[in-house]
Amino acid sequence: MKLNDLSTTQLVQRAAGEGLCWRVGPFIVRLRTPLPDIVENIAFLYAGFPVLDGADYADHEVVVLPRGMTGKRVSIIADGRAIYPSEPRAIAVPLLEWTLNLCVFHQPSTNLILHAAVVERGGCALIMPAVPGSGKSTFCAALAHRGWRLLSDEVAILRRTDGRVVPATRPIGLKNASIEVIQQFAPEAVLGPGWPGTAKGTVAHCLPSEESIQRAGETAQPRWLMFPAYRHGAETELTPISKPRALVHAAADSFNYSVLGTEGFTALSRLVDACDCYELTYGDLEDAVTVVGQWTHLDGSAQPEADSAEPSLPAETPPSATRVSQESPAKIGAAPTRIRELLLGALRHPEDLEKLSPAEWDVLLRAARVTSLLSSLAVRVAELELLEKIPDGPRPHLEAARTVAIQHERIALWEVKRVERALMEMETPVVFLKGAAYLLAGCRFSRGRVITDVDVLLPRQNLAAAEAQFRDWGWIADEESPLDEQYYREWLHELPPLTHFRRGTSLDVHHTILPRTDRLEVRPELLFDEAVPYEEGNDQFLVLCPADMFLHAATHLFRNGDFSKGLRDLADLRGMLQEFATTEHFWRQLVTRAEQLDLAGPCYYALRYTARYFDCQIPDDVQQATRAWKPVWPPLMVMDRLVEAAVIPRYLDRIDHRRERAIGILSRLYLPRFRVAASPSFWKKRMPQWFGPRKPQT
Amino acid sequence: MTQPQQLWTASRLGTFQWRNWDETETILFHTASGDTHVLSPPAAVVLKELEHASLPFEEIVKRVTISLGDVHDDSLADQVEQLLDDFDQLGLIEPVT
Repeated sequence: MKLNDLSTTQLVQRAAGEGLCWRVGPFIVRLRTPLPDIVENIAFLYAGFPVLDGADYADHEVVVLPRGMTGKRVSIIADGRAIYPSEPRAIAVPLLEWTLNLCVFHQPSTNLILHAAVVERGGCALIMPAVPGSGKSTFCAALAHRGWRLLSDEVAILRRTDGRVVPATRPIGLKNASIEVIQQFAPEAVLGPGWPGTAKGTVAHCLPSEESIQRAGETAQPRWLMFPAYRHGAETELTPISKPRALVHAAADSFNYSVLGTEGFTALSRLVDACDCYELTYGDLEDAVTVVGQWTHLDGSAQPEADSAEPSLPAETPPSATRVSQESPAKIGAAPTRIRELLLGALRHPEDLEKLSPAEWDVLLRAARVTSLLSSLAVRVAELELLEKIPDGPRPHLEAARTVAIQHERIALWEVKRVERALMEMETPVVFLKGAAYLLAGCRFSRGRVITDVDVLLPRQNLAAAEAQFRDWGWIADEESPLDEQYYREWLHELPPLTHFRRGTSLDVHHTILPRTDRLEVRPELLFDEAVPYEEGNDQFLVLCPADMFLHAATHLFRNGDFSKGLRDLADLRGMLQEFATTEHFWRQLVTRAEQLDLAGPCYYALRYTARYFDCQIPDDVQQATRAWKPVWPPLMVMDRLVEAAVIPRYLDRIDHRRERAIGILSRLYLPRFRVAASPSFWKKRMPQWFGPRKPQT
Repeated sequence: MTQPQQLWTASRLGTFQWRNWDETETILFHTASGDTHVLSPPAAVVLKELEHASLPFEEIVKRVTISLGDVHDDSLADQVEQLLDDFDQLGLIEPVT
């Protein structure tokens, strides 16, 4: 059944209830909204697409909700995250299309994904990678109306196993002047309404042909790689480029080449091997289409034989047979208790994940994404050799998350090596912290933890020299306002963040573990005293000892208060307890170090909540010793409620305001800026600046 | 300035993957960094030599000279020095300590 086989009433009812599901390329998407105008417009754009009845599993769920009292604004939530918290309802349709792009094409994948338009003829694919604004979609729409089958105007999905292009056919998004260009070029083209006032100007969508939709399960063999560039008034010019240049150019246009590592290189090399590589500069669409038509015909390679061996996927048959069930009622809009139960169940007993139904995975995948736990779960599932037992729908997401996590580990290790190289000539101890440290210490609990930056701790007296070294090796300070810069250097425990100019990776350089504004005072020299080398024979590069590692993680969570990944951080703390508790004297050392370092408070909370959420066993003598650290009941009760609200999302199909509020409050509990503003020295410094003589503007 | 006695070797983390489509440019993928590089013939020679052995600067210059057909070019030593510096920055090579 297609979307246009359903009446408007049926479409609206589905969207307002269980959700309207259809297939976009290899994915099932589900739309839920009570707004009939949105449903009607989407039903027009996807009229010929197969609708899926009673799908209890969708790869991606997009929810559009009215916002505010007037009904003129909407929130768009995708997979539990508010992509557009508040936007005009009048442009909801193009925003929804961009959200679908984000869901479908920007999620982790084991396939190589290029930002490219793809069309096919005779089983051979013409892939056109390009940066936004190069006329890629316009050219693609033109070819789609001159005998080419549309595979995608946005992405080329290169299948990992054989390098073939997987179609992701959707309406083509045209912008501004392109709309009229296509209307004139192909008067038969079916375009949806124009949507003025978006961030990209006026947007309209060109519908794919019936044939493109029906053959959406047929992959194509890459044959031509062409980099189009529109130049106003330019002559059409098709220029061959060398394969090395084509590879580098295509890599730059890929969403996940660097994340896939060696597999990405293999896939891209295979693509370049299989293709003739050209650059196309054009100013006249008709002329360019003719030239490309002649080129792809003249070399005789476009004979329709390339696809004969293709085990095609019929468009109406989902690749994942378990995805659609007529019997089981869809469990959409999962109840808060269900989300909690699934998340904590998965973390406590990952061995039971194989028992989950597709409908349960539907909720768990989204909840795990929102809490940044998907990659850890994916790695755990693989370690337990359960991947093959996971239903076909969620399995590729787990495989992709695992691939990404492994590559993040590689990237983090590489950054560590670069930091070592930059500082190896300095005589200073360097302690790696957090994710990179867990990796270097070989901690099992951190497998799959996505590491987004590297953190190092250096003695304060060596900071200036280290900063100069980092600059020499390509790390530059993020641009901060002078006040922020001063705030970092005077009041925080770290320098302004550094970013590598070539790799784009982040480095945080600390001189202690708590801001100077915090009432707790940690003496960093105590941390250096107990730090341990992670490589035998190299005493310069270190990680914290197990007890300090736990205390730092607890301090980072409960004093710095970033609870947006609170459940992941609590899971880390639980993992540390499980792993370190097997070593002799860990518990005793933990209690002693917490007191020595003045970190009894964060340690108490960490033990309390790991026990609460993960049933961690804390030895009796430790419980006894930490009883004195227990805060008085009113703040403790407030903290319990805030942590509960912050770490586990209650809803995935609407903005979880309670969670957002709790995260906000927790991040401000120890409000450094407030304390800075409350200090006399702050005002002493500021008053002359504000009220003293002003410097002339130059 | 590279110390003459300093030994250099290819990065010990990860491996190099090479692709050659023509004589003029070589593609190198470094598995540890995930970086892809387009190399000129002398640059490719330097890295291929250091992949197999730890070498001092003079020896590297000598081997590059031989690989380019024993053509004596006064600027070659400067070019190699610059290459070593660039490769060190990129993490493709490292000093032997």
